[in-house]
Order: sequence, then C-alpha cells, then structure tokens
Amino acid sequence: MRTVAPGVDSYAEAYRVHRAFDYILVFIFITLLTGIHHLHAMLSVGDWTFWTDWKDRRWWLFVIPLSSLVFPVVGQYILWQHCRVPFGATLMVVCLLLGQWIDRVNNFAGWVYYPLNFVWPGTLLPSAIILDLVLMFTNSYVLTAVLGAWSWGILFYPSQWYMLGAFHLPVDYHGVLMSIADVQGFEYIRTGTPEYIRIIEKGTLRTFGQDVTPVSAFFCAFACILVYFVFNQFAKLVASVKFIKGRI
Amino acid sequence: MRRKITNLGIISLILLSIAPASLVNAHGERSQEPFLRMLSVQWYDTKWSTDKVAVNEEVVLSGKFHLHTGWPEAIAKPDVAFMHVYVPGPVFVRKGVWVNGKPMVRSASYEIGRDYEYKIVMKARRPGMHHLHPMLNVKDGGPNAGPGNWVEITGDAADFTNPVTTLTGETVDLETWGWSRVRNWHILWALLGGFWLVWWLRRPLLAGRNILLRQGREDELITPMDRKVGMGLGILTLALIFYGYFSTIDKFPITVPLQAGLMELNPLPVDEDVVDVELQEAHYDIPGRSVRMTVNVTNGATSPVRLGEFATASIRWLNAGVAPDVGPYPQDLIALNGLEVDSDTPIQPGETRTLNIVATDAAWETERLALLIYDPDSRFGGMLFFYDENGKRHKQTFGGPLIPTFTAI
Ligand SMILES: [Cu+2]
Repeated sequence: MRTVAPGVDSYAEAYRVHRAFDYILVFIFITLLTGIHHLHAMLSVGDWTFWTDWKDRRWWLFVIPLSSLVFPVVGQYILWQHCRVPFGATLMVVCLLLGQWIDRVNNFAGWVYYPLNFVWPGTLLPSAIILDLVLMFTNSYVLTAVLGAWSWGILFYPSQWYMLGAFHLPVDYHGVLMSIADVQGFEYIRTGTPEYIRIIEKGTLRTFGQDVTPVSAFFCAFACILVYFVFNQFAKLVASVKFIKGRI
Repeated sequence: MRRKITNLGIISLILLSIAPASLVNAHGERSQEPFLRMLSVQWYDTKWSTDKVAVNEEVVLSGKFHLHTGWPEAIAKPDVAFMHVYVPGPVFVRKGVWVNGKPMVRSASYEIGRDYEYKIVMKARRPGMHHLHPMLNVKDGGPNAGPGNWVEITGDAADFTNPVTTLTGETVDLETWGWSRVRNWHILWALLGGFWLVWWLRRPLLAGRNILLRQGREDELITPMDRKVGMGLGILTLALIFYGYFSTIDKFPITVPLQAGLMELNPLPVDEDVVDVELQEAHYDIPGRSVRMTVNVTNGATSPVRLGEFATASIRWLNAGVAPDVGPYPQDLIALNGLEVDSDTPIQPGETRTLNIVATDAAWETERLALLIYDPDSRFGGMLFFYDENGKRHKQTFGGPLIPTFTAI
C-alpha cells in the first residue's frame, strides 16, 4: 500500500470517521445479507418457510435449522475472529427475517393476497441469540459447535410452537380430519402447488411412535454440530486476506 | 457500459411491472402441448353455477372427465393426482371438492380409461373478473386444465370472512386466525435480537476492535457489563422459549399433526350400453382449419343413435339438431354448427357404419391445437357423443394418428 497523508488530525475526528465507516459497512452488509440469505432460504427450503401446511413435525424442524445455520456460522466467524463482536448469528437471522417479511408482506399478501397467517416464516432469533452467547462466553468454536449449534437445532421447534400451535387445532372437514393448517392449504389456492408435492412426515423413522418431534429435533441438533464445524472451517479458509498477499 | 446496465435494469423493471397484468388475462391454458390436452384428461359436462357472484357467495364448478386410454408415454400416469382448480391465486377460497361423491381434499389414485365426476365449491374473495377452470394435476406429469369461464366477483374484499369450526368447538376466521400470535412473537424476538445488535452497535465496532485485538488487548473488548447483559439475555431467551412452548400447550391442549396421504377413490361404473368407435383415418386440413375423420361406428346400444357432438381439449363441435341444448359454455370453446356428418340417419342397434366426420372451427388455431404437428406424439383423440331419440347419451372416446395436410383441399 502506498503511504497516504493522514486524513484526520484529532481523536474526535478519527472517532467520527471510524463510526461512519461502521455505519456504511453495516448498511452494506445488512442490505446484501438480507438479499442473499433470503434467496438462500427460498432456494433451499422455500416451501417450508412459506406455508403453514408444510411446517410438519419431521422435516420442517429438521431442514430449517440446518439450512439456516450456514450463514450464521460464517457471520460469527468473521465478526468474532476479527473484531470479537458476538452478534454474527443474530445479525444473519435478522437479515433473513427482514428479507422474509418484505417478501411476505409485499409479494404473498400484497400481490397475490394470501393472508399473512398462512405464509409467515418461523423465527430462528431465539436460537441465534443462544448461539451468539455461547460463543461470547466460551470464546471457542469447538464448544460453540457442540453446545451452541446443538441448542440452535434443539430449540427451534419449541420456540415456534407459540405461533404454530393455533394452526394445529383439529377440524372435521367434510368428514375428513384436518388441522387448521391443512385447511388453509386446501382453501387458499396455490395454483402451481398441487397437494401431492407436500412432504409431510415422509421417511423411514417409524419406530418412535408419537415422538417424532423430539427424535427429529435431536437428529437435527447433532447434524447442526456437523454443519457448524464444516462451515466454520469454510469461513476460516475463505474469510482471509491471504488471497491478496503482497498487496497489503 | 454502466449506462447500458442501468438501461437494462430499467427495462427489466418495466417488464416486470407489466407481466402481472397480462398474466391475469390468460394464465397459460393454451400453452400446453396439444397432444397432452387431447389425449390425457378429457373434460366434459363442465358447468359453472353462475358467472357473477358477490364477495362471500359461492360458485359451484362441476363436471366430468375421462382419462384417455391413449395416455401419452411422455407424461406420468395418474397414479397420484390432485383434483385442482386453475385460478389466479386465492381470489376464491375452495370450500370443498368432491370426486364421485367423496370429499377429495388431497390426492388420490386415478385409473386410465375411466370416468370421474367432480364438484368444486368456490367462495368469492377478491373482486374482479377471474377465469375459473377445473384442473387435474398428475404427479410427475404436470397440470391439465379443463375449460375456463369468466366469473365476475363484485363487492368489497374487506367484507370477506372465512369461518371454520374446529373439533374443539371454536369457530375461527381463517383470514386472521392465529395472526396476532405470529405477529407478537416475531415482534418480541425482533426486539430482543435488535437489542443485542444495538448493544454492540452503539460503540466503535469493526476497525477499532480489530486493532485492539491485534494488539493483544482482547480482554478490553468484552467487558464485565457485556457479560452481565449477555447472561441476562440468555436467561430471558430460554425463559421465553419455555413460556412460549408451555403456555401454548396450555392454551391449545388438543392438536393434531398435519394430515397427508392418498385418499381412496373409485371410478364411475363403466357404461354397459356402448356405442363403439374405431378411427380409420384422420387428416388435419391446416388451411381449412378442420379435421376430417373416418370412423367405424358400431351401435351396441338398444336404440338407434345419431352423432351429436365431437369434443376434444374442452372444445365442442356440435351437430345442430341432434345435440340437445348445451347450456352455458364458454363461447370461444364451442362450434355450434361445426360438425358435419356424411351419413346422418340413425344408426340401428347392432349396425356398423362408416362415418365421415368434418369438424371445422377457428378454435383449432386459436386454442393452438394446430401446433400438434410439432409435438413428439402426433396422435390426437377425442370423444364422440351419440344420442337416441329420447335424448339418452352414449359417450365414446377414440384416438389415433393425425396426418396434416398443408395445402388447401
Ligand atoms: Cu383461464
């Protein structure tokens, strides 16, 4: 880097420049991450985030925490590794939710008139706060993977039930037992989404009777540990200045 | 270059904003390949109970379909299929679907070569002119839409309500049910998450902390106060998760999981009293917009019959005077005098006769069936409806190769 004349000449001014730099970066990051994190969620687990009648006890609580963990892991690594700022996961999830709600309110409700109570996304903020706190208190990626990512997965389902419970009341629908969420899916027509493409509790995990939810949640939690390790290493690999060696 | 990109951006924005308007007018029913529309699901007796309703009123869409035995190899068989409707989103809500008298809220297995009768009840929700079709979606095969008719919804969307009674005895409005809980929960967590972000954002964030970290002054970056606040936030988070979970179980103790799986369905009984049809040859006269068919008809019924109608891809060619009044049907899908039969005297029981049939109408072109010659399977198919003097109807499906004629005959 060439030598440049100092642009600031007082502590107060340096502070102002520093803050301005923070705000610009934060603005850019939030806009960018809102876009790409939302896109990532739509492409990987879209229907599970869109509709209440996809939010089942086996796949929803498995795929959402798993797919939504990727960005928070990388965010945590970058912010913690270089600045010791412990809100990487929370920031990523806030961005995701921002994108999701802009999408739901404008597109799903504003454009095609789905009622919002049918198209709301789940929230990973409870999981994200815990994940960030575990990293802050342990200052260890290994412990964060084992304790934090595990909690991230296990806490997802209980932290949604406040919203989802109301949609699982039983209904006698022309002689067929359905939950309210099923009725929503039937009545509020998705022309391009015929009923058979739903993936409701499909799978071979059949020996645990009623307890599909805890089994799925535990399985998800352990898978989350793995995802955390993998993407933590990935972040270590790519979030580095070594690619521009010799220029700084 | 930058200017070009800006222009491109503006153009795509304009295109995007125009797109929905044209989508509303025609939602693509004609864009399906002709062989698919003529050889898979054959819709007939389609009726719309009305073409004008107020918000909250109901339209009943009913009719029958036959699954053609010449089902194209190119698409999956209807082993899993969903009786659907084709409308632009939830402008109606679907209050019930019955196939052969059974409620059909999910997918079922349908048999090729058989007939099904459906009834779909739609409740008007958003004012406007909406095109309403029956549709059968075949898993791995895609959608097949029946005829569409315009239904006008009048009134005010704000008046719409959608009450449903649960087995726990509550009557809930599906338009709003549960929404306040979803909204409050999201707001609560946004406040907590937002607090955690602001807690750090209010001091110098990135560069300064990075410098301190590199100077080995890590312990200055997380203060005892940060730890205290973090601990408090953690406890509050866990407490709220537990509260949310258990208070909801308390409030809604009886819940059921999402329901899925194939429903049971039997086809309509097979008609014993049949008029058999065998296609000898068929030519499509492209300049004349007509199809000429030679068929052998064997009357296996007990009374003499005459040919009254040829139908394919939801378009109907009528032999005026034989077919009874068809009732309301979309004008662009009907050719009232479009069917010519060379030997139009009654076919006696037991008699086999060769009929030369000409079905002429611009619909061959406007409904894009003429594009059959570009399909991977240039066969066509259809239904012939015969009537005896008492108006009793005998339906028979047939199909086979169709040879195009490119010059005027
Ligand atoms: Cu249409």
